[in-house]
Amino acid sequence: MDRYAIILSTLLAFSCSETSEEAIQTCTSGKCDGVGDYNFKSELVDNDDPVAKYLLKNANENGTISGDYSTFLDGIGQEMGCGKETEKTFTILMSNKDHFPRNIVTRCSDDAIRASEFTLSTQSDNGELTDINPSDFKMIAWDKNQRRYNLYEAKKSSSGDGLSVEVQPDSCLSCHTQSTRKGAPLIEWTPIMNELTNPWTLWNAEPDFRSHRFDELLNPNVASGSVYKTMTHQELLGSASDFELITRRAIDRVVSARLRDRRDDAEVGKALDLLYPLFCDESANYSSENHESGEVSTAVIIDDALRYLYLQIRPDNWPHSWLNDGRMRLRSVQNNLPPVNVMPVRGESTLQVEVGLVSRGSLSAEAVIALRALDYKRPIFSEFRCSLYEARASDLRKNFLLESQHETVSDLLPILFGELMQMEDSAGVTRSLIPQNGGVYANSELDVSSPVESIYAGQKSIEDFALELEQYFDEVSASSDRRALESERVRRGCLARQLFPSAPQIPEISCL
Amino acid sequence: MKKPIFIVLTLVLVFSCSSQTDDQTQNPNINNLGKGDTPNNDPNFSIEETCFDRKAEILKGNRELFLSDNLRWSCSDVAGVNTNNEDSRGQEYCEYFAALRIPPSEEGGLFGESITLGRNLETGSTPLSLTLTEDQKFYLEDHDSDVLGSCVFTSWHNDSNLEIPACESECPQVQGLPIDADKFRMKLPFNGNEAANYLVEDCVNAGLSGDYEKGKLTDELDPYHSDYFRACVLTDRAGGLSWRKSDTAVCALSMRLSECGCVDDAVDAAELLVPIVDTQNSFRGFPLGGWKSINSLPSGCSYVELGDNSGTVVVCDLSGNDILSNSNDLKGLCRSRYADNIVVHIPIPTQAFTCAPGDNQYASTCTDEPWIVTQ
Repeated sequence: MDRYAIILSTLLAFSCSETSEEAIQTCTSGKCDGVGDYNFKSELVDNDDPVAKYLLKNANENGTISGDYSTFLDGIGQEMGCGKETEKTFTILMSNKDHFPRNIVTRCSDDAIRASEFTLSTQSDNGELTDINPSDFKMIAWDKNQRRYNLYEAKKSSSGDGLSVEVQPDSCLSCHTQSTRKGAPLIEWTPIMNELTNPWTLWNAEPDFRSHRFDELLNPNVASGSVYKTMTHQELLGSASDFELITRRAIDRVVSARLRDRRDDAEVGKALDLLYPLFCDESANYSSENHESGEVSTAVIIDDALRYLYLQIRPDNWPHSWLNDGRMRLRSVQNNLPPVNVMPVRGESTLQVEVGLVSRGSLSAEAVIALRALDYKRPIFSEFRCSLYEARASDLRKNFLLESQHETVSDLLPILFGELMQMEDSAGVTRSLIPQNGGVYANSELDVSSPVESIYAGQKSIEDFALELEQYFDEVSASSDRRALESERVRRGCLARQLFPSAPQIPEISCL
Repeated sequence: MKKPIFIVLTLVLVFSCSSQTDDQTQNPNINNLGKGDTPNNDPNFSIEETCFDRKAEILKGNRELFLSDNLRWSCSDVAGVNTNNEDSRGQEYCEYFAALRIPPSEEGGLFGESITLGRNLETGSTPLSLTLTEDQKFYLEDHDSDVLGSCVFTSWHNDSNLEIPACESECPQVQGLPIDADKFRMKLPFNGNEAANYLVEDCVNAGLSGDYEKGKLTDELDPYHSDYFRACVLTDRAGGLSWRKSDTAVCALSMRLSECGCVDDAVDAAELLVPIVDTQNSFRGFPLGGWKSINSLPSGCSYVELGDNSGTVVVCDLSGNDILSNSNDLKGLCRSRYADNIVVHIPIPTQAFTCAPGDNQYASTCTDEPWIVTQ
């Protein structure tokens, strides 16, 4: 049995519930209307974000405001200094909800950095699946002081006198804070835009681009619903291409805030949490071929982080397409296989932690390339790489001795990284997976039982590993047979479904 | 608690030069193998293959180049244009680079001089990379969402000498750099009005004379049956480059104008589409916009107002985090993050063209607007 299957059988039972009824009904933190002496505003005083400011000025003590989503948008926009004319709506079809649309609204939309300070997203239908419910939505807002996103959820209040707001609702967390893999660190709320790159498969790509699957999957009844039409009116409709830019800014905020942990006083747990996404996947994104063009992101076969890492070594003079272009062209389609469609790739937020640690000088590009060279044909969901972390992290957490020269978390990172990059050989001797004299142990596919001796046979220079990747890139892009790609898509798709509650429906796969 | 930022006065920003001489001597593997800086420097390059690639991208992807009133393409260079041997990025009548002020080394400190990274010069380019001190890294991290730099996209033709009206009062600046021809006009020799004008002329002439590779109209499997493919191959003969989006698109429009009897004089056609410099109708360059329209831009981007509404200089935000995480090649970040959605437009004076294909071989394929190439 695949080790992933064993691990997955013990996963925490997270569900990506949109309403999280249990969380709402228990009201353990006094977040429901009119419970005892609960004071809604006391929950907001530490929040330095535009939603908190708006609520403090406008909500009653139970957190209730009259109106609907547009009332909130206008009020919060005023706090941000972003008027109605800067509003845009971006629409995604929720594949786990029969492709019912979710509208995500931003203000200051022409400025992706500002726009990433706040979003409002609709959550449910009108009860008849014919329109969007204007009184059920979630909001995120960047807290400049705490350097994190604060979460808010608005619903019709039980007394019917407006919308009741819950602060930091639990229902947002299962999808946005970690993978379900046992031992994954709990991270701050992180944005998800599954299909982050062109053609943004389930997103409305208009008016800038022709949409990929959006038009065929949008229920025409919903498309003619009055709330949906109002929100996506021609002047308000924003293209997924712009929401990609806004999402990237939001990811930058979260990752950059997380990376600041390396400046903290030395603490083994913090260092290991920062190293986790280098070995195991905390998120996934999903790439598709650009319509029928054959053009697809290189990330479907080669980890995008490798491009960044090689450019850290040298910014130019690389003679390799995989490294220079970031996209590849697949040749003719045979075997009646459709274009590459919703292929899981390494998550942008996961990847950016790695890139950030290298660009900030905490780890060397060469050392991280040595990790990426192991099982490199599995840029995401490498059980081998994750097992390196899991085999040693617990022991390091308990037994690693801090020394006087370890002042900050950053000081610990290269040491702990080196510790994690080890495994025992057949004689029980611990061996490093970073060649002492430089270079990498390039192995296209490994499993947890792969012996060190065979891994060592893949030793080569960093330059030669780049060349090996180029040969792999050429082989895949020139091939007229997509079966290998399709097989890998199915493997990854099944794992994505199990590990990430927010994974989209991945077409044409069946998982055991 | 976060560690304080220390002032290290002795450490200064160090540029690593993108000129290749030093690196080449240090690393014997460089350029001994693989592909060159442009597709035609790839040992396996073939015009037919590249035309198949461009055709698939342009006609089967979601970036529509051929519209009724505009011909357009993105600033992003095609796959195969890179920095191997030399930085050849900027092939599409659009050049781009990063501009920023050197970050302070401490909170409240002063920004240093304004610099550009990866900006084309008459020969070579400004450095690609900047090396940051620890203190500058801390500063950028503490200001991770502040706009501390810009990606600059320019379509200002290298042979346009138009003055900048906005400079009659005070020149607009980008990251402390006043707009001027030296820094903000394109430099590569083919990114000029004349080159575009000649390309139109040559492709129209070929169409009028019939002296170019043509397919069998009745054979749909013949690749030359495709209007785009035929024009793509013709581009090479007309002095353009078949792997560029811009050259092939311009040539396709021109060829179709002639095949469909919309023009009878190549010089006139070229003058209508790309008026030569220093004439009454001449312009600074092809206007930049987005895929939505000629005057829309991606989020985070804005026009630099030159005072002539030319729309030829666009800047897009670089945050502190962008600079910190991509300091080795910010120009590469400009390409990957923005260049695909910054779009070069050639407005088409549709009223000037009335098409009468006559007995041309392709008459049956001509619509009222045959420059909208769909196959």
